[in-house]
Amino acid sequence: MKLRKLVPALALTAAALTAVVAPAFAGRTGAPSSYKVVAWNDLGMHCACPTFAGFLLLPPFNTVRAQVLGYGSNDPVIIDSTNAATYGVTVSYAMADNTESTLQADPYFQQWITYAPKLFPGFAPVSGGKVQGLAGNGISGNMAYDSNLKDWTAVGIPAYPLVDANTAKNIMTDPLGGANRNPYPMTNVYVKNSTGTILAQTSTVTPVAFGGCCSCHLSLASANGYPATSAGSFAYLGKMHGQNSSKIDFNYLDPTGDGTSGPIRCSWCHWDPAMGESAAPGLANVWPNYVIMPGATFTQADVKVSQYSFSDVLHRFHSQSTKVLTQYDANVATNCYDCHPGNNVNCYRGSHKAKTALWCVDCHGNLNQRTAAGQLTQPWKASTLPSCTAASAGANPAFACHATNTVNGTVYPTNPTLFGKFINGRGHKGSIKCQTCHGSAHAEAPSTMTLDNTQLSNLQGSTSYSFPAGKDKTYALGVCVFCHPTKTSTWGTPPHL
Amino acid sequence: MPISNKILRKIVTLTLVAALAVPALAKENKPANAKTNAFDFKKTSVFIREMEGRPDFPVATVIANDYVYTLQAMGEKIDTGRQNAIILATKLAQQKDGGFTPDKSSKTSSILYTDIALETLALLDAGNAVDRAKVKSFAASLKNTDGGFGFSPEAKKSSLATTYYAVHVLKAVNGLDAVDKAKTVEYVKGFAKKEGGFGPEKGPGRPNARSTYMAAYVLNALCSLDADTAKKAVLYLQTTPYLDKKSKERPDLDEQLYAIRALKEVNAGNRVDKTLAFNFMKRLYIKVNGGFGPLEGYGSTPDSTTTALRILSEIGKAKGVVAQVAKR
Repeated sequence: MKLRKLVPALALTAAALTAVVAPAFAGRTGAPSSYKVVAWNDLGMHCACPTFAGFLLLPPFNTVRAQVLGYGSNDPVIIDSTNAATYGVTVSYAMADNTESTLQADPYFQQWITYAPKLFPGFAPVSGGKVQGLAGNGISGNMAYDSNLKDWTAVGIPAYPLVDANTAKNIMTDPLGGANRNPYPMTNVYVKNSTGTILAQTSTVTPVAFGGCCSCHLSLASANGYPATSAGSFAYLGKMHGQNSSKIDFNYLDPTGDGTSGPIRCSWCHWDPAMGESAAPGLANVWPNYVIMPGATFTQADVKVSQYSFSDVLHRFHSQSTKVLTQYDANVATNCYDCHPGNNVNCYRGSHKAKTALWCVDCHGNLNQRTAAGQLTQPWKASTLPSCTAASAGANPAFACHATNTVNGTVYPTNPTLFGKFINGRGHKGSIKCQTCHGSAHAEAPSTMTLDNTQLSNLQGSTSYSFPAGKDKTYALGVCVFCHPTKTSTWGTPPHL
Repeated sequence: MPISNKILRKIVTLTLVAALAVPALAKENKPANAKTNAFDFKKTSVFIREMEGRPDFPVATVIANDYVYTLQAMGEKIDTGRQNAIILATKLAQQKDGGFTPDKSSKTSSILYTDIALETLALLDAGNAVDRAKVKSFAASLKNTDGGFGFSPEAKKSSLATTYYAVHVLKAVNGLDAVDKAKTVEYVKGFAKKEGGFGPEKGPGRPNARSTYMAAYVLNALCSLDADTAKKAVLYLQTTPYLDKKSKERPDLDEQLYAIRALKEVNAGNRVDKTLAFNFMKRLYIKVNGGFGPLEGYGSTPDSTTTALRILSEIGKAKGVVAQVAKR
């Protein structure tokens, strides 16, 4: 059994270690002699809900990005959609741990399949027998080149924490009491030629976990006379929501008119860029014939788009609620893992964590600071996110950031956009993504989790490479010869500009 | 000479006996703690002391409290420099109205952080470092006509928890005369549940250990805990996973602590199931870093580690002896 798993793993490792020579291109003028691919997950961790019947916070939605380099001449060729077509290569991905059969048999994921069409009208979570994510990508397929962000991307793939046959991987506690799950499914990324021959491949973690909501909300429901279940929790949350200025108890909202309440998508009314939307659509625009059920104390006039983003209401409420502070956590403003995956899963596990006592709030600010600085009114915007050289506006960092990278008035990395600065930033001749060399945000190399380090260990695993004292192959990509055949094989810090 | 020899021999013998007996006696005097093999407190110490490396040490009111309580519970000394830094930071957190804030960036004081700050100072034997009269007037200013106390000057609504914190603070500064005893007792009794014990909300809903402890504390502090209430509280607590080995309910770290404290508060400390609590702590212990998680399978945080040490202290399994100055 072990051997059966070991052989493909070794094959994968070998393929990632060495760029595969592409004989098909040998005769083509200018075609690279081989390819290299480096992949990563955009955020370092995604959350997904374990239930979807009541309301939706976050769907299965994970994004894998990759850069492909054509290797041969002294400077590598960045493979984009244009030269990929010229050279006849494609970039594709395939989830290694999430499979069609296990996803569709998973009782939690089945809830997603059941309720997703109500949460996202027009969306089919299973098409032609295959699972697909909100952006149309399934668990395998071709990656598209993003000419704006300069990388190959598979947006919104439906990665989901799984009950792994290898129980050692099932480290995530299910807050609803089910079996532990593996929150770190892997995704393989391939560069293939027109006949399907693999020219290069790598593998990256596609992290996804349940949040910590249930750990407080089940007991909150119980303490208020509701069953200590997800349904009871939703019912009590609906009641509490009805007591705020919106007056809307969403237990009385029947979006589809099928006679039952829910499911509710928070972002119908509270703008949430994590749903890929730039504005909340409003329930009436999504379900024009929605019904307010008998017994409701609100009217259609109350059902309107909120001026507050989802991130704003969620964070601000929890940090300012006296009930939360006195009955659940006096330190909730800095205890990010109360809600973000901390159920034996570490969102934050990169090199910063290994080296210092740096905590989430040092870069992002604690919830009180984030609220005061207005960060939450523009969630995920580059302007509210930290960079390598500065913490987020409003944060009060105890640690010094990296020295500024300003040259002739330009701050590198360039091109920060949505989720920007590090996540979508570029350095090194303006063409290499920060994450290509440093790994996923929150899991920066070397990560405290071995699995995160697998890719770089493979890419920099050649015995001809050497590392100075204190560094090794798990550190950020820094062996020049990996990309430049005539340069040194000793690890160093490449120019970031 | 022979006489003096005899005396000398007796002295030597007595000294030897005493020397042999002292370690044994010393062992007996230690709290029933020695069984610490389950936990590597050296690792726990490193985990908690990680915050010493922060330039903004002691960071915040709660974090300072975690640091002081946990190290003392493990029998460790806090050096004078850090003690002074904590006392200074705590003093700076006291606002003009007498209340304390969660950290130096905040200017809004509340009864919760006032209670935490007072405990930290008391643990460091520095209770007089702050203006206690102002503390009393701050807590008293939160009193509402319903007999309860609010959270802060801005969040005035009474709750059982905020009333508990106010009474706790007032007791610590000898200010219980500021409480309208009859009204507060009536207010607190309104949180009693039919199952016995108390819940966080009036009306429907189940009791929990935290609210049961808080209510019992207030009633005790105001000399109003009657035998029937105490008996019902025990009846409820024995249905929880902290006394009922067969309970299917998932135990919770905070609730474990408050279950123990509630039993002690209603004079049923002999009912505390120390073995159950100890085994639960073993399941929450994270071997990798020496911390404790808030729930089984969850990662460790300073807050949950501190709560675990509070539990171990309550059941006599911590190394150090922490002054029972407060029961946050």
